Amino acid sequence: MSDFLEIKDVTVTFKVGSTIAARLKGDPPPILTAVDGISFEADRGESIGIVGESGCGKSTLAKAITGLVPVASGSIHLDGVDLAGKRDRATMRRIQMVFQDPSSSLNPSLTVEKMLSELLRVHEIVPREKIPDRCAELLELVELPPSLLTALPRRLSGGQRQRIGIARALALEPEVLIADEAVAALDVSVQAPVLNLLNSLRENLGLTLMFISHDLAVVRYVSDRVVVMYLGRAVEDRPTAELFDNPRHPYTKALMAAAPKFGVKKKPGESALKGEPPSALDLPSGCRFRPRCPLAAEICEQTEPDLTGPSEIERAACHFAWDEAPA
Amino acid sequence: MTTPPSAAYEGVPPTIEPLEVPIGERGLWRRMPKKVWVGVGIVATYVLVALLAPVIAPYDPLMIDPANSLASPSADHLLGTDQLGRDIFSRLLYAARVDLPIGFLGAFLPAIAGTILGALAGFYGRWVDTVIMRTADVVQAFPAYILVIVLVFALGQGARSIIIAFTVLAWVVYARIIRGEVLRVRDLDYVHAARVAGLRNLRILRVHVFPNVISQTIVYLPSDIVFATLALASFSFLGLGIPPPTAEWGAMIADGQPFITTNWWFATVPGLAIVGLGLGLSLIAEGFEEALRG
Amino acid sequence: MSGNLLEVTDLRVTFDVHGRQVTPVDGVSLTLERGVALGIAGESGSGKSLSLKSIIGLLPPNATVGGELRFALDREAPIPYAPADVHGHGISIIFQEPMTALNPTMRVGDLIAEGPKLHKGMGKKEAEERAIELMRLVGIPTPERRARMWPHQLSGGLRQRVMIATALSVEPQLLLCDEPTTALDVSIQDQILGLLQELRTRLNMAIIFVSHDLAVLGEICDRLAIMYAGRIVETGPVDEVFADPQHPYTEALMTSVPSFGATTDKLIGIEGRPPDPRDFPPGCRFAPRCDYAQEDCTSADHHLADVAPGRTTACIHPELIEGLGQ
Repeated sequence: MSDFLEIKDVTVTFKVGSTIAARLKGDPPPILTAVDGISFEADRGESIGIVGESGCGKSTLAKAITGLVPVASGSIHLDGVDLAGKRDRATMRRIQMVFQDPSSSLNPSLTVEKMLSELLRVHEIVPREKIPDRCAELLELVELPPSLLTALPRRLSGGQRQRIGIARALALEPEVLIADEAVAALDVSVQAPVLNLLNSLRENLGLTLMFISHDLAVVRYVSDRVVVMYLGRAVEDRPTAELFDNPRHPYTKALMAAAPKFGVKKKPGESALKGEPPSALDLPSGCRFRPRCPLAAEICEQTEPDLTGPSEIERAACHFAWDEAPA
Repeated sequence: MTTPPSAAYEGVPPTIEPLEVPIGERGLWRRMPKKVWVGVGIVATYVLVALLAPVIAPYDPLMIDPANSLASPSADHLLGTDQLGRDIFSRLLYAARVDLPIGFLGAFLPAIAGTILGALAGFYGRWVDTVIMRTADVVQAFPAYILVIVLVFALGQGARSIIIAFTVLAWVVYARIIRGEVLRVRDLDYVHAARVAGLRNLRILRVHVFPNVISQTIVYLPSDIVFATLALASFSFLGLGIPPPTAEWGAMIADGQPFITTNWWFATVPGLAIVGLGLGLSLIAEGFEEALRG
Repeated sequence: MSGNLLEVTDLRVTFDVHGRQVTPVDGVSLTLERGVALGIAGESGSGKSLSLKSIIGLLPPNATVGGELRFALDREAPIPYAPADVHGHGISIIFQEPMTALNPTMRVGDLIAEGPKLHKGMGKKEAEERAIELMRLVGIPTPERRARMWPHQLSGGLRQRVMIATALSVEPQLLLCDEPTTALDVSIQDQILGLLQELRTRLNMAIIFVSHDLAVLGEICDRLAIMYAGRIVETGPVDEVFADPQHPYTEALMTSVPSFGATTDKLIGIEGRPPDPRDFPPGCRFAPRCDYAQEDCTSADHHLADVAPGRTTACIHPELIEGLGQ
């Protein structure tokens, strides 16, 4: 397999609630499966969008790939290297992350320069005497003036902080950049330049980008391929244009119908998506989307559909996804 | 609308961001409000008095003059004399040499110990947390004064025993505060970012967690110095503190108490000395808090 | 005076910040007819949320409100009012974050019943029945059971429905919405927007909906007002504004949003950032960031002027705007 980043059957579980209470009742300790057997591959320089609503496990997946949370089963390979177990510093460096909330993603007591130079020093990215120059270059890379080096985070605007967050990730010269809702907290006029920045960085630095968002329009703008997640599983994984033109999974269809579309007149409340997702602790039998699905049939109750399709790059997890020929 | 939505009422003007690009940061010290400097002035005066007591005190604080006991204030004795004829003014000045070091050490040592232990407990969790916090529970479950009595009996009366007793007792509060703060900060994105960057635990704790929780200790510390001084006074009152005849504010209050109706200044003036110190320290604590929030 | 439900004239909100006067809402005027949904769009710090809160008197104590607000409580001539008068008498508000807006120490049913008890003089039993009725109205399943639950036991979507039920409990003629769907998932957002739309027609209720999200406003509103730096810069029917923006800021906002329907080549965004309310630029406040800015833009204050029936703009050179090529 020549794929650069290979995620295979990754499952992440958390213990929730009281283990003691469960034991007293004679039940097994409650375990929440946040990510349930996700697989996908990404080429070098490819941009993968991960879409889903809150609780679908997209952020947990990101944390598992960066090594922030342990993987319960499955494997993550980067350029052929298995990332199982404790990662050393050099491995951590290869996958970096941009976080959602600009107000909590920067250490409030470090100036921009101190924050960046710590990373450059610890990882010995450049010789010590070159560190100040490199800090200024990093700011230039994210289109900020070098005068911001002496600023503490609270003096920066949301957009500036998010750029600093990107600069921090780029300081380690990663090969994979994961952006977890990186523009969700920004104003629309600030969002656009940050998205453009991510796009141009990917092109110029050859980064593999994993862009996680609840916003379909934003994902469409930055991704080559989109993985749609629902309750810990991938329900559709297809090239962006094909997915948006002709969604195959009823959940993807419903999400698209529910999203307000700028410039397209639609009445709210008419999406097929009724009710709310069930608890991940109490999943329905068969297909987990079944209770909210307009297509639900008997087979959906009995068998959980696999993520399959006509080709490796066109997959959907619905029994009826490929019934009609792709348009 | 019936329930006042708290988020809506707690209005602060919209965040105002500076237009100009910041050139430099105003340091914490430059952001300190005036009250801090007033507080520092008061505390510095106390320290100065303690240092200069032998120079400015008109009498030997231990010199007994039974013929001249319980004298009223006069030109000779500015604050009169006590029941043994000792000069109250001189004793007041000399007492600063006892109360200040015990107050400061008795607050700083537990603050340092508690902050470090609390940070370790919160950051590492698991057995580290269990060991430290269960020990804290045991200390807290023990009646404080009994513990002091036991320690004073074991180590002998004196400043050293008092400071050790304070440290053993008071670290618990700091440990709890700091542990809670660390638990909050530990899950913030900038700590996650530091982990993703492959930084070692100890560095994350030192650079990314500790500086952002330490303010809680700094805010609490000055009031704890007051508390330590007051506690020393009550220990002396109970005969567990500094043995007589050493001049000490708490002991002086105890001495003066029987004469409160006739010689009211006898017990009141050392009391005021403690209040003044407390005022200075609270001003510092409050100002620090404001500057850190600023 | 026409049949307007709400008339706001020259609203100003001023804060005293360490002795400095800051005016984040600076001369906002708007009128609203019965049953109409007005959207106010703008970015953070534009003053949209403060304008909304000043209508219902929810400003912090260090704020001073200037200008005139008139609200028709019934069909008689509109009267100027103190915001306290309209609490529970015709205007309600819902917020973005239902968890902080709902008292966590009260059961859901009691929260909703409080309005009818206080403002409609209902007895305990009657008010509880009314609460269940309202919960059914806003589409909360098994309302009898959920009325006994605490706010934290409900999902975000249900909490938002509870907040709407609380707001409706005083039978408002005007519902103020402060980004009520921003914190919700798209599928839940769609449900809540659908609910608001349905309630609006059923109860003939007017709505002012504040949001940064143009797409959301496009779905729910009849008319749109765009705010920038404390002022309204453009108003008009939603479709017309989107089709043919008459202010460069509106156009710039629209080109900042990635399109859902088609692949976008490159988003444009807006250079620089909104001005500091302590130091607004002279003349048109958008001029420093405006691609079409002319010399006379910064000379005098520009007020909203009619450009077409029902449409106003504060731009003095709307003819320069190229349009979006749609």
